Amino acid sequence: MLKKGKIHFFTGKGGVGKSLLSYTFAKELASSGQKTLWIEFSQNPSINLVIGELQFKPQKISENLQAATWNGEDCLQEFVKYSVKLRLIYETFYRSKAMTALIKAAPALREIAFLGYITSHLRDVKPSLNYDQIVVDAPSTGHFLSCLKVPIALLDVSDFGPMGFHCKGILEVLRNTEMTSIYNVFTSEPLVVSEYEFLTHELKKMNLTSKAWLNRALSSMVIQDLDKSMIIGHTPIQIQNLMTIKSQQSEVVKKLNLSDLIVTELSPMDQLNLSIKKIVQDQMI
Amino acid sequence: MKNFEQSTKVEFYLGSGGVGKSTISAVSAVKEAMAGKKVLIATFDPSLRLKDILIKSNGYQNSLLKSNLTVKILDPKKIFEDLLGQVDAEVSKSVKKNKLFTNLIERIQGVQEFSSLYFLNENLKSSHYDLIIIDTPPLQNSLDFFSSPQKLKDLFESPIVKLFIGDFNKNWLEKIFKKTRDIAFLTLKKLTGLDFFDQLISLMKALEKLQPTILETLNQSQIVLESNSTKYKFITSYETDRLELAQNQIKFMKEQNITTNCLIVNKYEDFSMADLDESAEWCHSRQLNKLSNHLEFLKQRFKNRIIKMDEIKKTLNTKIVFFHNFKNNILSEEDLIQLSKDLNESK
Repeated sequence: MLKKGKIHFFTGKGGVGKSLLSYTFAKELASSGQKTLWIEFSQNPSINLVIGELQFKPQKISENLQAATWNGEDCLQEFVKYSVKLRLIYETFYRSKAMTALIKAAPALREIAFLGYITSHLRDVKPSLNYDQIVVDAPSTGHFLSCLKVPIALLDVSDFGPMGFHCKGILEVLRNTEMTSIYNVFTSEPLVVSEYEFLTHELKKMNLTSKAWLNRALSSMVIQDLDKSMIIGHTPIQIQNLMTIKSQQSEVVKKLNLSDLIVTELSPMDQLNLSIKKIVQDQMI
Repeated sequence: MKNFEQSTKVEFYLGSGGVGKSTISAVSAVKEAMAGKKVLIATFDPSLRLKDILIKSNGYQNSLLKSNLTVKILDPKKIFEDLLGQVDAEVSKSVKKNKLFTNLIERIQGVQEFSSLYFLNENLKSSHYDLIIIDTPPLQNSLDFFSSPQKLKDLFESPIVKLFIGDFNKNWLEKIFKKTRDIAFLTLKKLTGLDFFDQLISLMKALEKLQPTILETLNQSQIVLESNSTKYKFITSYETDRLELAQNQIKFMKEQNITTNCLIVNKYEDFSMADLDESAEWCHSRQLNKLSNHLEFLKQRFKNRIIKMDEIKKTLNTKIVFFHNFKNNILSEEDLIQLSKDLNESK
């Protein structure tokens, strides 16, 4: 039985394949019958590499899957629209040039609005989203960390009042592994691995748990073949390359020594779909 | 202003996250320093290991690097603190107690970009360097580097300035403005709470003191950004989607009158189709079927890249440099020097 109401963040070093993984993950969740929302969270939305142009308003992709791009400012607008019951005041709020300038400049408002909105249904706070699963294509390491830092820093400013209430609630959801999964995606390349370690460490400092996800791995079958072919003589350059990747990979897996390491291989789309389907099943038990 | 020439050359390194921007700009800085130029490189957050190599308390081992290379990791908080200190000691003291400032200053849009432009301007004044390299802040979309400072400028040119100093009630228009503002502020106060609101307003009041400095810096930067002595280098990794992104962004920059002087393709794998066929044949003769299937898949991916790369070569009128995928980790100064030689050879 799949557990309902979870948020899945995909983060890691830029270029490790977060977008494709998270989107495929969302697709598989949806096809298992869960009403799923895939969100690209970005301060400055650009054309998404995976599915092209998106908007704040979720668009239907397939039966149970919707997709959107959010930047926080629009979440804030949604929140103000809901909270300020009088349309006139809402309009005054957004018509005030001073206010729009302030909102654009103010640190933290956008991040809180975003984190607040995606956790709304789990906190019983309105306006609330109506999805079983939310999958976030989150920013890469540095941006993601500084976004998560916001509610923690704000609690330092004020731990009561409306801001304190929201920050506490958001952190409760993020720190609850029943409600939140943070997938820290990496590849076997040494530079990527050290960023993985850094991110895991920093998240731990914030009392956040993350799951290791090794992407673009070589399959055990290919590794077997490579092992068989360890022979003297001329080896084509591409095979040499694969050998290097193989040794990097085995080194990383040995070093991290994780029993719950999630692995996806560099493989054609249909195979990737299959392995993510299996991961979705494992993750949701 | 187009013909303005400053004695110090400037290079901006642009590109989306994860393509190796920090590494390539560091390697380029090392290369120029080894060639005898006085080089200053400013970066935001290089990977920890790169930072360890670049920031040496007792200098580099290599004598050329020791005398020619200066690395600065920019800290926007420090820069803003210093600027405020110069403008108003009282405000500077109070802002250090402001938790939004101390914890979240880098979350203000444009602050990082402004910091690098400010740093650049300050160092151009001295003409101590032959070359200043700016590793642009990590952005999803590298073009934002050019629009972000404008956002910061807009903030200070908008009526927000009037919020705190404005003497309203002068005429009916300002009365309406004040009324709108009051309603908006009351709403925000209600939604966020008093503590947050107070801290926010005091932060904004402090930053407002910087308005003249910010405007001056941005005007100065405009000249530098358009100068003939300023070069733009765009970095991409060798993957079809990233290449496409680079192609689009370079085109877009051109529309904005920014010419990319060089496209650097990082992690370039220089296989020919013949190499790929050779590998396939090699597997085949050894009956390594799984490996052979995998190679077939890689071949397909590779073909797409070659097609994209050819298209870029044909359509973009930009110099392209290929930087080969380095297998080993960068662990030392020596590694950086070695890579800087590779960067030469790649050309």
